[in-house]
Amino acid sequence: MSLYIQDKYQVPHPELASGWVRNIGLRLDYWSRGKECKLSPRIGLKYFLRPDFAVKSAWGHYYQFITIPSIKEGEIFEKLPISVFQSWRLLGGKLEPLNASHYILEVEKWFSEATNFTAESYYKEMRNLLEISFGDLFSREIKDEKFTVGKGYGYGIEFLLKSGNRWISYAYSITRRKMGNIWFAPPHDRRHSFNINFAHPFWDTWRFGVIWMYGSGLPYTGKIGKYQWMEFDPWANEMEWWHWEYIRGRRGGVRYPPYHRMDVRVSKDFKFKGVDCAAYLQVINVYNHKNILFCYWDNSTSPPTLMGVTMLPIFPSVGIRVNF
Amino acid sequence: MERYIWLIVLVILYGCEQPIRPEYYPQEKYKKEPNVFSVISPEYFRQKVFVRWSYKVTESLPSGEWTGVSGAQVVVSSDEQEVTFNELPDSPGVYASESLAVKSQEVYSLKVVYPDNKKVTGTTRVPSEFHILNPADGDSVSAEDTLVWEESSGSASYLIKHGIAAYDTIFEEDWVEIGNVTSISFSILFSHRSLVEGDTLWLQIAAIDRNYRDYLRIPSCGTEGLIHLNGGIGVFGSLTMSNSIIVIIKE
Repeated sequence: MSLYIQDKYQVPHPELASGWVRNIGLRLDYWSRGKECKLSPRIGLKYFLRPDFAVKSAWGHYYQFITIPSIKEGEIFEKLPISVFQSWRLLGGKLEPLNASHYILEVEKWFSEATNFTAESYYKEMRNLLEISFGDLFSREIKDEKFTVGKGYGYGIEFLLKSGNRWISYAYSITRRKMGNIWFAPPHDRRHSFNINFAHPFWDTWRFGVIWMYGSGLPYTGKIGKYQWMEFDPWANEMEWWHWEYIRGRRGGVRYPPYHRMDVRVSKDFKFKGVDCAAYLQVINVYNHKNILFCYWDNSTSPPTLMGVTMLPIFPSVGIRVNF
Repeated sequence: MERYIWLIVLVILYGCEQPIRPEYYPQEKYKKEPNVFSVISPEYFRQKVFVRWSYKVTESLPSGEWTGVSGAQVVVSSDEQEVTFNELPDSPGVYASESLAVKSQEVYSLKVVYPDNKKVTGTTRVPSEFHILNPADGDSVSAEDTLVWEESSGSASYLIKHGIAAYDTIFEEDWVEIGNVTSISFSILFSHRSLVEGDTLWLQIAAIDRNYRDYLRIPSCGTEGLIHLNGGIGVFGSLTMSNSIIVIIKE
């Protein structure tokens, strides 16, 4: 059960055409499983130095009572959409609710009504993050003791220049997690992200759009050593066979190659029996860049080769969108 | 339409894998470690210790598939005895002894000193003797009956070896780890095939210690936290076997 109150207050400054906007909120959550109340205060301030230039800051404390725990072992399980098979976990008992504190500072500049630029820096602290081993994931009933409870933080700066349907953005970010005694880069810790979105209408009802995205490599836990794991027949006291098992290096200590791709889309708006429709042709990954989903060691070559399993190649599609 | 589906599948599969450039390889240093495997048992006439190295992930095996380490000193000791194992002449890296008398519930220590003086040590307590309680050897059972055995003190899990001879098949044999329980129904144990009247089952159970149980879990859980040796990787574990029984499936 939750209760939320908010107070928005604006102080105009008549001489400079500037002023404050203050936004204060308070959320009260009653958490029946933990039988306790949690208060989540938040405050936002926006100060207009000029009518076309503002500085914003915000602080908030947030609780989350339900979560999908991250998986501890193996980069394949950290990367693949295995969360499809995971269930949400209602927190309670020995597991405290996730909570986070956010600190945000932003500047905003308007060049015209349609064009503006923002630069936002942030710092976030996260507590009571949950992690579970892959082996325990599919247990019929997962006990609270099976989870590792950790914490983390993230900070960064994001720039966005937007003009109508076109925008360009860059983000620099760092995220760290601590599980047990180890600080590490989690699988989503992307250092640089760069995006361009260009959309342009032509011939009245046609639209052309291009998106290009670039992301520096995501971290994973690399394998640095290997040994022969013995397939032993305990009844015959004989060695039957062996296969390679691996020694993993520092958690999140290796990064995949950068991710980038370009998508192009052409669409035509039309009406069908009075309903707004659009037919489109879209090509995902136009230049067929082989982005890596996860990798494995191929020991059939000498020396062994690190092989990457790639994501979607060039992928054309056609469709009709109907707006109800 | 079918040909277009195949075309789409081909497009998806095209370029599913590609080698990753070496600058994206893990740069962390790894030094090879001793890799030792040994499971001892009162039922074994000859106890063995397999001595090998681990490798960097970028290394190939130096010569074929046999990579045993010769010239190591291998000693297994208990309160009552200390036995030096000798390398088998035709199997480099395999050390054996026929004079180590392994007894249930005794604690044994392994010490392996590699030619470059790297040392690996480990200990194991041999699980206690135990017997199958139900059914008795020669009984006729139904598929719904349950196999029951005594608890073996010091065991962390049990392995069940089961063989089946039927009119329409040749003798099938397999074994499975079932966890730390002392009973299991035949229908679950043979869930991969239905049992029919006249099937003859051969059963034997092994109680295994924590070290060997954890080693068996490595392929599904990874190496971290499942090695109980000092100075290397691998296992020094132990097991005790029950009596074996033969039962026939009745109507």
